[in-house]
Amino acid sequence: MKKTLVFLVTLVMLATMCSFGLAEADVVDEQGRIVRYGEPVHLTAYFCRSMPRFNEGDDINHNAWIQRYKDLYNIELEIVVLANGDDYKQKMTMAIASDKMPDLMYLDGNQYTQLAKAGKLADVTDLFDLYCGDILRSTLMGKDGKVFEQSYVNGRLYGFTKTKGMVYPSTMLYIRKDWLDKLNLEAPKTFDDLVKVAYAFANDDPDGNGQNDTYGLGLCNEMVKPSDYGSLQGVLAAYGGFSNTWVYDEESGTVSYGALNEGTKKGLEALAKMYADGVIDKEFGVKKAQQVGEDIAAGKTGMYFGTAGGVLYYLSDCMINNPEAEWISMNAMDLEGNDATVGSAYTLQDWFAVNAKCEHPEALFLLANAFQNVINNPKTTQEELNTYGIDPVTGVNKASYPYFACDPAESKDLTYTRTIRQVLKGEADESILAPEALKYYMGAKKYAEAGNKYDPNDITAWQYGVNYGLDGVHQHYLDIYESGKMLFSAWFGTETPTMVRKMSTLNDLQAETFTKIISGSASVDSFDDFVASWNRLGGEDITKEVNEWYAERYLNQ
Amino acid sequence: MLKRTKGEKIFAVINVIFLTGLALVCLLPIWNLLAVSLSAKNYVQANMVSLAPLGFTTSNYHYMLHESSFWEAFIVSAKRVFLGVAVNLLFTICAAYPLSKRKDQFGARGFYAAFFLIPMVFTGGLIPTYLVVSNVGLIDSIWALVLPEALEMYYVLLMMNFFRGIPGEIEEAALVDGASWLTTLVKVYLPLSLPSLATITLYALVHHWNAYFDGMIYINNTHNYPLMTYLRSVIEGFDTSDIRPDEIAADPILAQLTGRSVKAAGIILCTVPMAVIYPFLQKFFVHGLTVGSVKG
Repeated sequence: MKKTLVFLVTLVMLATMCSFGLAEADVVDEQGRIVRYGEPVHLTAYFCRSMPRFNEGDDINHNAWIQRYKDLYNIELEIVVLANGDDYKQKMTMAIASDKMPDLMYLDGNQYTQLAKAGKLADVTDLFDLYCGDILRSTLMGKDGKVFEQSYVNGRLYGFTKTKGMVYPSTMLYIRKDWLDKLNLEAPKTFDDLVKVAYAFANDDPDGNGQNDTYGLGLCNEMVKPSDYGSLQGVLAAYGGFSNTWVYDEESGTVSYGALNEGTKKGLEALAKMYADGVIDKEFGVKKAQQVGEDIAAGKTGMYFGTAGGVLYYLSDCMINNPEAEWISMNAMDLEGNDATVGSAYTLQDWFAVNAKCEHPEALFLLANAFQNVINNPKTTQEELNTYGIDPVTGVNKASYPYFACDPAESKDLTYTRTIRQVLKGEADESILAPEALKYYMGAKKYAEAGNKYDPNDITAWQYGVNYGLDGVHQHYLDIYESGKMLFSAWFGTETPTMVRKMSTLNDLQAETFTKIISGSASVDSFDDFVASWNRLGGEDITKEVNEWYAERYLNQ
Repeated sequence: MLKRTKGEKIFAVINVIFLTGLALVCLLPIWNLLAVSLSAKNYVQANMVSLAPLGFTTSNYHYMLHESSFWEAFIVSAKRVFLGVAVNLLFTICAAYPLSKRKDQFGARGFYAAFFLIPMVFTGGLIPTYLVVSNVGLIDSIWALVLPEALEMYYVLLMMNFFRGIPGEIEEAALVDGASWLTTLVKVYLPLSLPSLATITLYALVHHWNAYFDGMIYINNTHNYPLMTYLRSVIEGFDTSDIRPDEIAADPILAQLTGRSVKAAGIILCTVPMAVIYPFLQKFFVHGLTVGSVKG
């Protein structure tokens, strides 16, 4: 018996020695950071995004980025789940319920907090200081690091939120210039002008087909969140109202929900009047943004509030269907004719985290650095961008494959727009442009040189022109961003406990009330009842929680 | 031919109109999808397509058929249907035959009936079922789509009732001639049960072809998605606003696509195989009756 034991122990020792002898040691730098693993490290990952497009022969587990992780760190990343939206949520819930979570994962705010508290996620507080690269740090921190702070749970860090810049307010006004010209109208300067244009577009047959088939202002049924086509936010903004922004009031030192203020009521009143006069589509209550987009493409709607997204989409179809169509964009205006103050928000959607059982939690930062050091690095060469970004031949965007990728907390678009504006105005030369911005600039320049005319054969130039050119959408956004008219929601954290339970009910209540007021089936004064019910049904508690959250971060420091 | 009364004639006319209307209600949405899938982007985007395609184009089909994932999913679905239907039939027959016997022939019948019927009403729920499938190690394999649904109690009831309808004398005759229970099942009962077998095959076929939810939760690797799960991910996820201008410049066909018409093309493509198979199975419904097998 004893003999066997001795023999076994020797065998085990021998085996360990052998394996030590064979195993390649990790490459470690002077601060004790792992630079490259000696032995290949295999990590499983759940990836939350829609299916990207690939070059022939590539897939999510075989592409330039997976190869980069292998080459740089000897990490063999295996993406076992690639899904989006509800699909992803379903799979993540299943993985959590069966306690078979992958090594690396994307989580939503509630999952992140719960799993962190339950000890299921690796604590990366110390690793963060050690491994977070400079570029990753500046990407995550943005201006003041307030977004990043949301990732701390009980003072410890278990991952970080995917920064993405900001939610663009859907208050960009798009108008058919050719309709204005036809009816001898000027582009609106004040909100009253805008209303006049809306009436003219609805009543004066701007498309000249002799039928009363056009709407003055496109409006969709989304009454809370921003929407790409036909948002009501631009109208509310004229009166100082909001649909979902938390507003901090300096005088009282409190945060309140913008959708409850007097301005919102006045905005709804204005919409109700337009609806009663037939300026707004009678069916707006059942139209989604997409269907408003269809009206735009069909040439029935000549004016709407929307976002920067999707310009390429329905507008270009409108121009194919109506070759004379010409669109201009401008910021929402208030009653005096200044740019209106509009609500924006920081996005907090996905959290990146590592399973507590994973032996290499530092991989979180290694992978995130690998992305930042190429895509958000001003020193990146065009050649590297061709390998890891947009393929110059096929146009496939390979920057959609990397894991743990995030854009700067301060929107990249704003930075690009700023530099492009300088170059277009001749205040600086092209060398200040990041490679990606250079491409936008070239397109915008080409579009301007062609006399700002839509050329269906060169969608690229048009797209970059209407977005980044001197009259482009992003230039307008930059204007209000710099003049402080873009008001970031005072609250942007993970949902408070009462929000998790009540917010969707309150949003439904808001949508229902607003729709009724606009369509005239409820009086404008019922807005006051709405405010009272909103508070009673949990809104009061939410406001209290939001104020505590705000005071903790901004006031008591 | 009897002379028809006036009332009968009016009834016939109304009947035809009513049934035609009913058929159109079912057919028109599919017809519209077909038109949308064959129309150019700008018309689809403007919601102008109703029954005839505008700006005829096949680029949506071109796009779908050139996606290798479509064909991968198609093959997975074909495999699933083949395995799934075979397993369904085997288990259904094996369960239904003993249950169709009288209590004196099969003593434990009551116990087994309860054993099968209770789960018909009470199921384990989504997460426990997932845990079982996952702990058995079926995740990401084709068997996760086949085995959890191997026995569908509804089919068993159908089959059992059909077996009961076959005259007991036929079975007795077989047993007297020295056939075993198994032989009786295979040589006597099954050939007589072709109509109900065809019915079950058809149900199982359609069920396995159309099922998407189990594919969504049990299959992680998108290469192993069955067709309907793939179609769902296309419908949910395909977003042409994701397509960048650079990609369009390199591949102009992309500029012709819109989410709606690609989805329409996908739906049409996924419906075609079932629509083709269905009429061929239907002919079994009328055949194979037991008329005249018992004399006296």
